[in-house]
Amino acid sequence: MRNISAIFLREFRSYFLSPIAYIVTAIFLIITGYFFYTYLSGFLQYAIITSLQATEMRAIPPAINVNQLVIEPLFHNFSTVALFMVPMITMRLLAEEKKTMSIELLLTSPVTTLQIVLGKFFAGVALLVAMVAPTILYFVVLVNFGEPEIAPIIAGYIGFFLLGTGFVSIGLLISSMTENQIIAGAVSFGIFLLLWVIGWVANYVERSIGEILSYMSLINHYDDFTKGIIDTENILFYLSFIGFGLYLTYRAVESIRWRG
Amino acid sequence: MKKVSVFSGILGAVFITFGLVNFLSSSFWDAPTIILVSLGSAMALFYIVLHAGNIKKSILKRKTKHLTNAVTATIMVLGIMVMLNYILNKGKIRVDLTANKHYSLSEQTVSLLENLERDVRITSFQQNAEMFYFNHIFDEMSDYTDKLIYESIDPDRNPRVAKNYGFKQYGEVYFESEDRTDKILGNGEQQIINALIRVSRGEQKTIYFTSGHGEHNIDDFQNSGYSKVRDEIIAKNYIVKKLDLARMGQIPEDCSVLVIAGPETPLFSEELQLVNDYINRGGRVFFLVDPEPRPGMTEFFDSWGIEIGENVVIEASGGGRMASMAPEIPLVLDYSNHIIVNTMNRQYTYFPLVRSVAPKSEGIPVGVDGIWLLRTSSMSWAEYDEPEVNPDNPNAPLSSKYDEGRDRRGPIPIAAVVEKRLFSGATQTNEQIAKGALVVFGDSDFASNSLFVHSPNITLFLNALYWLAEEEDLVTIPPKDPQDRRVTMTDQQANFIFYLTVIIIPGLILISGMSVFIRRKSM
Repeated sequence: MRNISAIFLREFRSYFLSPIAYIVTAIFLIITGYFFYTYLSGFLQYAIITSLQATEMRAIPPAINVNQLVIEPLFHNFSTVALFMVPMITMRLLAEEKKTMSIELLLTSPVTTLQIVLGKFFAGVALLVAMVAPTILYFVVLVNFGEPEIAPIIAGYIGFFLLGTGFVSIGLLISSMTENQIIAGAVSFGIFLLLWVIGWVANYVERSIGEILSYMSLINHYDDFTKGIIDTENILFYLSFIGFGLYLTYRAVESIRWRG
Repeated sequence: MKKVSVFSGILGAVFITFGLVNFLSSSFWDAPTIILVSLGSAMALFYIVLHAGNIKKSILKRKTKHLTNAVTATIMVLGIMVMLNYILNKGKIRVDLTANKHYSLSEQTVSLLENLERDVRITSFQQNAEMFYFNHIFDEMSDYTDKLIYESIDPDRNPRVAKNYGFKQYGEVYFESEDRTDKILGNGEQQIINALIRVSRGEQKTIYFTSGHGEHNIDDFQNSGYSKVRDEIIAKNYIVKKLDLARMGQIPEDCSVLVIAGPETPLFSEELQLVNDYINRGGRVFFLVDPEPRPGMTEFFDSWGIEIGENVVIEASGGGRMASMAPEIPLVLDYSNHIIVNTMNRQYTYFPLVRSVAPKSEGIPVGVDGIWLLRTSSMSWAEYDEPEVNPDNPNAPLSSKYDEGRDRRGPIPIAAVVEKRLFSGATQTNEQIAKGALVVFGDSDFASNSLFVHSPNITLFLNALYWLAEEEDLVTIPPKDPQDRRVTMTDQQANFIFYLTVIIIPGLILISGMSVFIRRKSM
């Protein structure tokens, strides 16, 4: 346990001693903040227009719901931006070590492979959390000026956490397979995108294969959370996905030992 | 040769992959697929044969052993994960955290599915490409009951099956249960529920609508007819018939509910006696009366502990004006706890010309329980005078004013229900054998064809009817519209939010990054 936290702390600190943590977080917040503002002002305008129309036609104005019209799209936006940002987070986790050959030091030390993998993994997840934490501000604003439902917001964050962690586990895996950070980042991004869209093909193939493919899509399991639905099927999927990613990473790092 | 063989090996693998993908997406072994796979296999074989020696050597290396170990273990782990997902998902739990359960099947649907008595086979015909989203609701429904056998068929690939069912359009869904069949187009939740009810109910109940006194006619398609309500009732698997009580002389044995829908002249005393006896036997009656023309019969209602007022309820709250309705059309939002109306909250119903209907406060016969169902707002009153026509402008809306002492202040109940418990009479057990019930509304036009578009009105009518038919689980629950949750802020505040979220916070982060960077540089 101590080894894991040692590796974790070392990695996490180095994120903040380099530009990475700041730039990734800032970009994430700029983009999501901009979309938040856009959705919010669109929502406010829509509210005003429909009330005006309603009083003109002497009808009751339609119900408009901030959760559906602002919060749900915002969480979708989070996932899209994460798609781009997580490769930046994970690309250096193991590729750097391989490049500078410090991986050998690590592997010959009394630290086990599992501890290495977990330590790095937690560092990636921690940065993910740090990156998304300031977005709570958006919801504080909404609560201050309106009455959104809170439970679906929590569900959305849970879903995002699971999705993001899934991305981290795959990013870590890719990072363990190359020495070049850029390649690690690019391939991670490519695979995330692939796993994202794999569900779209489901409509055009046989039903049973389509079901399998859409089950494998990372984003299909995210939709329920953005709507405020917690389904153990989705949780199980993400946990399996993360577990499998970590297992493959473990195998990959182990293989460095016998590949010489 | 060697170089060519490597090239051929790679190309062979590519061809095989393409061939397999082709097969997967069309599930036909057509000519291109076969050619690709066989050619690819031949090329790969070519490579293998030429490199046989090398291949043998590398298989024997220690590295390869490690590799095969790793790969086998990985495949096993993957297999375990897949199985785990598959098995555990059978018992999955799904929680909808939205306030009005917007994204789940309604409670009515769930309780219906859980209480499904017989097996129902559902067959849908849909194009392959649309199937995934179309089936979603049926899959969700299957989670709640084993009695649903659902199959989704592409009519283009199974023309014979499609023909057997009489398939005509994509999106048709067929329901079969024992000897009953039904068909709908589309996958709306309400449609599916109606069809399930229609097809799985044991016996069919019959609802009789009286005629002969100017009641609303269930076959009348005009504005004042009840044909649309009748269609709704039939859709819920009831038989609807007309009954001329005076001519028949008796209420049929199979009558589950008797509906007297707004008679314009009073029922004959013999008819009222029949109704009386019917309720006393445990019968269920839905009686709708109007303020104009006044049909009398006050003693009948009196004998059941209900007072129907010789008045018209006027609404002065301005609520009607908001929906451009005159003051004689009260909008109602005040419902009691009775099961007929307790799901109506937040939906307003409106009644063109209605009179007060309330349980009497005293002088109620023994064994009878009465409760009001809905009432007008506190800014309304029961007007006992005839409204005055403006002599200068005969077509202007009639005006009424509140006369202290003569008129009654709101809230005014306009519908009520009484129940009479009947006991077996045996002194030992004295068990309840039946419950006669009488539901009275002070207006009958609210459910006519012209007002059918306002669905809460119809929901209310049907709720009362179904409750009378003792089908409590058919009380319609309104569609789950999104709740109104707004955000209000000034332009200034919105601007400030922009600067805060897009510029200030990210800016602060970048600045702290830079400070770290600068400090390290200077170290």
